[in-house]
Amino acid sequence: MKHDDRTRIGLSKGSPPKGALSRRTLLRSVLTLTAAGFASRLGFPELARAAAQASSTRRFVFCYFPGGWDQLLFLDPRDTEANQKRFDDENRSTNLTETRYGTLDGYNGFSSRLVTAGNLVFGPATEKVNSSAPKITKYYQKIAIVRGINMGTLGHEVGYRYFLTAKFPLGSTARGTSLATEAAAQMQSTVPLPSLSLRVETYNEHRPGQYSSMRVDSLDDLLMVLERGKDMLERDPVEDALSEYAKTGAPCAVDVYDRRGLLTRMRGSDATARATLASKLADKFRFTTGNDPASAAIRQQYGLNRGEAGSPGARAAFAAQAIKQQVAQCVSVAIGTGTDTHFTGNVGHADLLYPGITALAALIDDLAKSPAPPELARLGGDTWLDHTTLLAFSEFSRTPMFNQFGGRDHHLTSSCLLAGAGIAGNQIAGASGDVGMGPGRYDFRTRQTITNGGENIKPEHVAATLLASAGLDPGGALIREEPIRALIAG
Amino acid sequence: MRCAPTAVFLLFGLALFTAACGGATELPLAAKTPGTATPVDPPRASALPEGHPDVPLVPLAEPASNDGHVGRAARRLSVDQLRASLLAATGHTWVASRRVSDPDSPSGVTQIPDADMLEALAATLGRPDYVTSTNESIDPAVTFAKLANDAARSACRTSVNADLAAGNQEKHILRYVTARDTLASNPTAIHRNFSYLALRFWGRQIQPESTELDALARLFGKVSAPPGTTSEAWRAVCIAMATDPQFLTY
Repeated sequence: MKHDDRTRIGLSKGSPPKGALSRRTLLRSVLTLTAAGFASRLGFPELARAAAQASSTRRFVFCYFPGGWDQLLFLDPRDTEANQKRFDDENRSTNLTETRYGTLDGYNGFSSRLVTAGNLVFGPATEKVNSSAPKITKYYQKIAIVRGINMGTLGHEVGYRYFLTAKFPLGSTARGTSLATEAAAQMQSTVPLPSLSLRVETYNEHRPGQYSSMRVDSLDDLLMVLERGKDMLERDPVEDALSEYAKTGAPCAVDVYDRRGLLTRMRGSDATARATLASKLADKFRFTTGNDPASAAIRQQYGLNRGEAGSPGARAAFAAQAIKQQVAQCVSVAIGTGTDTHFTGNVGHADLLYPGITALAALIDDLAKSPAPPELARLGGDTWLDHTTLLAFSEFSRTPMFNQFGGRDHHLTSSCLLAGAGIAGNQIAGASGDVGMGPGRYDFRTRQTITNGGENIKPEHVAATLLASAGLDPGGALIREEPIRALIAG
Repeated sequence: MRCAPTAVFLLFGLALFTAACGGATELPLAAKTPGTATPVDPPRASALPEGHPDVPLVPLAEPASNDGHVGRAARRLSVDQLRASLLAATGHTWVASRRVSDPDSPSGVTQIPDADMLEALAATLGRPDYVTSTNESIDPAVTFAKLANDAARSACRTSVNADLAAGNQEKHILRYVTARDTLASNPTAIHRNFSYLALRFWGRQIQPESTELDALARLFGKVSAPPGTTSEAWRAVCIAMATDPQFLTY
């Protein structure tokens, strides 16, 4: 073992060498403790934490499928032909799971077949048989699936906010900071908009205001936020004078009311908004109407008609542009259409689920085909997908049994998809149960799904995995759970 | 001996560690005995404008029961509060042309020439849709900062233009001044108007001669200096006040 290895502090795959504690190690430990003691003593916990965090160039895209998705149709299907047709609908009284995949045969391009790619198996709403749209299975080696996640709630806002912050909400009120803001803050992002959100809620509980997400509800609204408003004052010197007033104008007495930092965060957001205007970022998001070849190519990649700004494809293109044009380092996007279908069967749900899946596939495909800029490529990884980690999630899933209306209600156990940089692809972690699809047990030490012991996988584990995959600190996000190490590359 | 420097460093480190972690071990006196904070009445004479009807006082919460703070935390205005506040302060809100989706239109969209923008942008500004969210977002995010600036610019432009055309009717911005008054020609009226606007926008009684108004005077002076005009300067003052945290929080 090299000398440097012996003195490394932190996680290590190897066992400690003989006579492990060298003088140098001891001295470093003492001095580290001393510095930490001083930092906390002087009231600089953020400083101390920041000094310990490595800066990262990772990009993140959080893709939200609102409404609760049917995982039997996408990420956690049941093979009705396997195990002596154990999950055939005729056996639903013993496995408490019914697929009714046959209803999809010949409907709107779907079929009842499962889609297999490498070790991954997807449900029948994942692809249409003869569609030329980008297919998610093409990138199975970059994709990992987490199954059997215990969401602990059947409430939309609760599950949604639980996944956003990796903290279980208080009632329906979110706790903590959005993972996107957390990641941007830990990476000390310096791009114009560290975190950008399209139709996804954002929260910032303890990070500086400049890492708060810019949240918009539509592409039109984004352009409005990024563009110089029509009522801006005609002369730039006047705007400069206003900017100067915003920085220094408020009397000191006002700061008395800023004990909790609200005014400081407002001023930070105001400064970011002014800087954003100056950088003319709006031009990068006119692809839905632009006549230039680049805009046309984007519309073709995502299957968009001219002017189509509200579809899942347009929102996926928005995310890709924000990443590729280096406008944002973390992007959150409601990529799916609402799938809260209590009264429709597989066909209705598949119709709503498929556009989001296709948009996600087009986004992954776009990032995989787009070369990374030289400064990132030098770090390893030639494409944007090599530098971007994607998470696709929903607040919970649908019941494995149909209700009396032929639809599916809310179900606790869900799944999610991780893809791209830092993710060990072609793998599945966790599982839902064979009876009633309850959340399974997972042994984080042996990295196996087990029946006794272990623990449920929860959104905290997924969040820890996401952050750890980029070398970020889950502890900084106040997440105490372990990452799913089997899914972290390298 | 190679060990000697190491030992010195070790002892030095331990000394620092001890100093850092083991300094004052006694708790402050205030923490030992329960506090008996007495609510302080605000000075009523200066808190309310002359002739204002009396209002009941609400005693402040004890710091010990309020995370060490006096009173509740400041909050950002919700989108509805922002719209109502702009209307109250300037008499106008943000109106502009906007494209909205329209299933009855052949193109799927319709251009509304005088859309109420704060209503149209409510979701982006944090109003819940009660489908995916039920809580109002009042985070002071970048989006809010930009759009609140746009709203202030629109409302202030309309308000100042209306004041200039209003004759002797009630004016919102140019209450104690005319468009001809400058800092050189009529500083008393200008400062009196600043004081009036501070009360109108921020609910604060600031005397005309107070140094708290110096920043507004500097802004007014900069913008009204040629080639600028006093109407442009009053518009800038209105925008500055309507985008100040004192206006956007409560």
